[in-house]
Amino acid sequence: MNDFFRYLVAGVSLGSVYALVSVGFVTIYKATGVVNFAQGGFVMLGAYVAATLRMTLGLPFPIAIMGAMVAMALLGAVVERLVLRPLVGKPVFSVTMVSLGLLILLEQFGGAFWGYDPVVLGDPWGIDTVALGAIAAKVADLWTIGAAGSVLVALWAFFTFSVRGVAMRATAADPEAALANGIGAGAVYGVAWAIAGAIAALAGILLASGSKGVDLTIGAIALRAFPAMILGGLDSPNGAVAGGIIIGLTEVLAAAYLTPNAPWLGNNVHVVAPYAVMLLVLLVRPYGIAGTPEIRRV
Amino acid sequence: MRSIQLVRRTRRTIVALSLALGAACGGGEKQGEAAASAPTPGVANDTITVGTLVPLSDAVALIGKPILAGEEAYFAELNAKGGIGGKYKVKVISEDVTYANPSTSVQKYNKIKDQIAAFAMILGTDHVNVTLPLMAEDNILAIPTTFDAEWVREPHLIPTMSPYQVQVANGIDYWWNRAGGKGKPICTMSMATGYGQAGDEGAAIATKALGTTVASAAKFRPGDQDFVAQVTQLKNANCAAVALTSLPTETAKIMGTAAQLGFTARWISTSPTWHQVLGKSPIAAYAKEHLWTSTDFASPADTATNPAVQEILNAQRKYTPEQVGDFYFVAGWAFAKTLHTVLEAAATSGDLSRAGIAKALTSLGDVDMQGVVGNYRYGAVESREPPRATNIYAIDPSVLGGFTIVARGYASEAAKAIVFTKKR
Amino acid sequence: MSATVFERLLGASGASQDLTRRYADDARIFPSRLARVALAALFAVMIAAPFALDDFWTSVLIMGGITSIGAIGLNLLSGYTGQVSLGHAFFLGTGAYSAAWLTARFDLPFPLWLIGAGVIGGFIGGVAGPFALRLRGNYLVIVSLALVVLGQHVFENWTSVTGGLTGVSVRARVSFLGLDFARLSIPGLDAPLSRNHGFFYLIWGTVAVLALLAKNIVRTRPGRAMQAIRDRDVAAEVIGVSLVKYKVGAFVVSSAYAAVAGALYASYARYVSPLDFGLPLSIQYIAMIVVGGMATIHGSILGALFLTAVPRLVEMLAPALSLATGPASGGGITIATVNQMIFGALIIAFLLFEPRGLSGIWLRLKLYFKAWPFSY
Repeated sequence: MNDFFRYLVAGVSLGSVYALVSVGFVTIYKATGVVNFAQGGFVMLGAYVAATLRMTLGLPFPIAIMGAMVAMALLGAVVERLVLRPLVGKPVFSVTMVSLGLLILLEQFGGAFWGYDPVVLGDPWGIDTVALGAIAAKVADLWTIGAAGSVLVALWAFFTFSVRGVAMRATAADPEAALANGIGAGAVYGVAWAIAGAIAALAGILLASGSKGVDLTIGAIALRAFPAMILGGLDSPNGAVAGGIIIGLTEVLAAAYLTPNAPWLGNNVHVVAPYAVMLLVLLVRPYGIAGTPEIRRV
Repeated sequence: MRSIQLVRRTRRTIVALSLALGAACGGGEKQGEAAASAPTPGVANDTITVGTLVPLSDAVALIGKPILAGEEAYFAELNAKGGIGGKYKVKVISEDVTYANPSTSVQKYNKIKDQIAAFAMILGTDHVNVTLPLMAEDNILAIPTTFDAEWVREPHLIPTMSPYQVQVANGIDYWWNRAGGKGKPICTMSMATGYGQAGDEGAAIATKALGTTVASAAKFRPGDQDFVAQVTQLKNANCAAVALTSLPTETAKIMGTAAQLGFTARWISTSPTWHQVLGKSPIAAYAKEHLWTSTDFASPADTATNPAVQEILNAQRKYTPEQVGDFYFVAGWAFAKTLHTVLEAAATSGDLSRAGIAKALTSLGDVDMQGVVGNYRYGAVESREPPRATNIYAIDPSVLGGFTIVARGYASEAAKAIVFTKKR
Repeated sequence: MSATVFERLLGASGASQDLTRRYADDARIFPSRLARVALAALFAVMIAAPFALDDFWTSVLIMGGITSIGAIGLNLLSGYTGQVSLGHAFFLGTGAYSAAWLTARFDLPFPLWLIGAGVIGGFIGGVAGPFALRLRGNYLVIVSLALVVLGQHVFENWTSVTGGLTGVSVRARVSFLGLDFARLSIPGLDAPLSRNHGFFYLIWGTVAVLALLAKNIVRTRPGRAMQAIRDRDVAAEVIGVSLVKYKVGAFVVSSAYAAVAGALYASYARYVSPLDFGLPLSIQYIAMIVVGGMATIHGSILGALFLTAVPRLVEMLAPALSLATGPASGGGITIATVNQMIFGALIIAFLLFEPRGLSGIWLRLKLYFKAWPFSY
């Protein structure tokens, strides 16, 4: 039973990281209608920048996190302005392809700039564990859940109460009406990409903390967050969070219980379990749990 | 709003570039034809070219780069002294492969096979498996920088150092007989590749000789991020010792997971499992207490006891100063030295064709590696004899190389009894 | 007035396909005499090319040919029918492993294992096809991503058939009509032609046949139905185009093409491993059709050739650009990194500046010369 609670904590922690990445995806999708494959690149670069700030420049860890988030927010806004803005009005497929191209570029840039060896992140909690009742939970997991949770709550507050957030929601709902009310689409797109970049950086840092270390494969987390995003519905932030937690739990529980008991399913069934879950949900609800069904006009 | 002029100009540039590329394609003809048609491929008037297939841009580059640097430093020093036979300078060409994908070795092999006399390095058990049939067809020899027991009886390979099976068998035997492990459960944790299988075979050999069996066998893939399931499996089986066949990136995560789950067993690993860069990460303390490595390499920290190691470090400082002279650098030196011995013999006999090099290999006897690694006996394929003794090291992040000696030159009965056969 | 050679080539009235009176003429692939002469010239060049090029460039062209077949398949699905799919790598892998299994288990001759691989691929495509009926747009793209991930999982773990992570070597017979393409011998030459040389003819012959087949699909009724679905699938259904038949059919044909390409790759490379068939391969194929030109057959071939040749060119130019070829060069960017960067940059550049891809550039060139000297 102790083991089960430990898996629960690990699953929610991994799920929080997935939730962060998915909310980043959904923010961009809601604002601009684009599925941004380059999110994984921001995750990886965010972790590398934080590692450099912490280890090479010796800054304290919270400053390193802030610095990485700001850097990735800037990168997101710059990418939006330079690469995505000229594609407004082009078919969505083109923009998705461009984001794929961006993903490749960002990954290679990371390898070229920081080399291919793993880099230590320098987080203060390392591999410590703390006793929660009868189980020993990883401190890294607890920090992940806490940090991700606070950021998500802050984001929700931003979208619900702040003027800029409400403006973004207005543009997402009806760009023309928003324009008529004086809300320009350009600023909204830029802010959406900046938020997504910052969240991705945080996700990368949380993922690399503990004993994992920063290496080029961290960006692949974003691919595993796709099932979370689809599961929750492409345009629903609440769905993204729920989907993230579900997928995180699925992965950890599948690894813990499926692999030893059903070896015929394969060595790493926990990597494909999220996709299988996603397929099942889509068969029943083609737009995800909380996504809005598309109304198509001829 | 972009001007129409800019769009037009950009389009014209793209057209021009495409045409230029097409022209460049045509200009690349007739390359390499001369090299392939020569009777001694890879050998020009005063240069011998050797090829390497090494991962340079993925996680395993951590091992690949130092080994390649070690080889290059050796050959640079050799060239400074006059080269092979006092006449031939050695040139190394390297091709980047992806460790997790053996097909890339096939592609790169086909790319350079006509330009080289022999392969100085093919990294990865599966990579060697994949290129062996091609090497047999083309009659090219290669130094595999991996230590599967299957290489001992392969005529087209120049194997070196003690095989993984010997490494693991010695490690387990030492722990059982000399470190109080007698009677306790032994388990394995290995990569789901040919390399992992070799380590598992070593564990099977040792446990059989000691009259026990492997209690639990966990597997993982290269690139896996999460090891909670595997470590929990081992913990539930109450393993007291685990034979670990892994690579540094995965080792770091495995050690981290083990530390966090409170799993304290003796980890006994093969040579490429640890890298000194991990000594700076949070898992160093756990590894220092729980990880051993069993291999016949000398540690670069052994300069006091072994003058050859000092020579190696001197060459590193002189020829490849950006590369740290670590464990793998020393190994690279040894690989290069072995190839040099073979090529020297071929040059002396005057026949540097593919057949001549193969013949030279069968004429060698013991190659003295001056204590840097174990001595290997070549000669006829059926009578090759790898070193059966290994050193047992513990982790010490404070020294160069990251290893400190626990036992030197340990050869278990199980390892001594292994009969090497050709498996295919 | 004596007719110049040029005028005779263009046909009596100097017109090509612009002035036709019958519908059949409009749909012709090689309408003018100039087009037919160009075709004959191309044929001659293809026969002569391997004699003139060295082994390395021949192998590049062979890989280009193999990937062309896959690219044509993907264009049929994504370019013509509008079903954007990231799952192409899965079907390529299916074809490769089918070929490996068929030749290892049954030792079939060339046409049989090739067609067998295609049939298996098409069948699996038919199973995946119905997802396209339920899901649209971005949802379909990500579900196809799931297909690749699941496929890789199966390839890695079904070790009895695929050999797992270690991979499997392939020994496929490539004799057809009595000629063994791996060891072609020409009477008059003492040594047989190299393996690459024979494979060049085999592959490009197959490309010609399959490209013709695809072109025939797209210029007739099924092609029009597919394009209608791409443009407005609800309206297409209203006018009587069966979505089930054509969407699933597009998947079947596209995956059959991919399986054939995968099978040819397996027989050429003689070794396959699961990591050959991951997401990066799917992205490469999408890049090929984007760069080459979506919804064109010759664009698929152009894109495939272009994206196969560029990495080789970068490798050739690496010393000139002083890229790191090994660690002793002191770190820096490796060739693999530069290749990937160029890749990503190409995708972005073409989408930003020339959305119709290389085929669009080709069209522009043709129109330029056709309208000369009034090309502005």
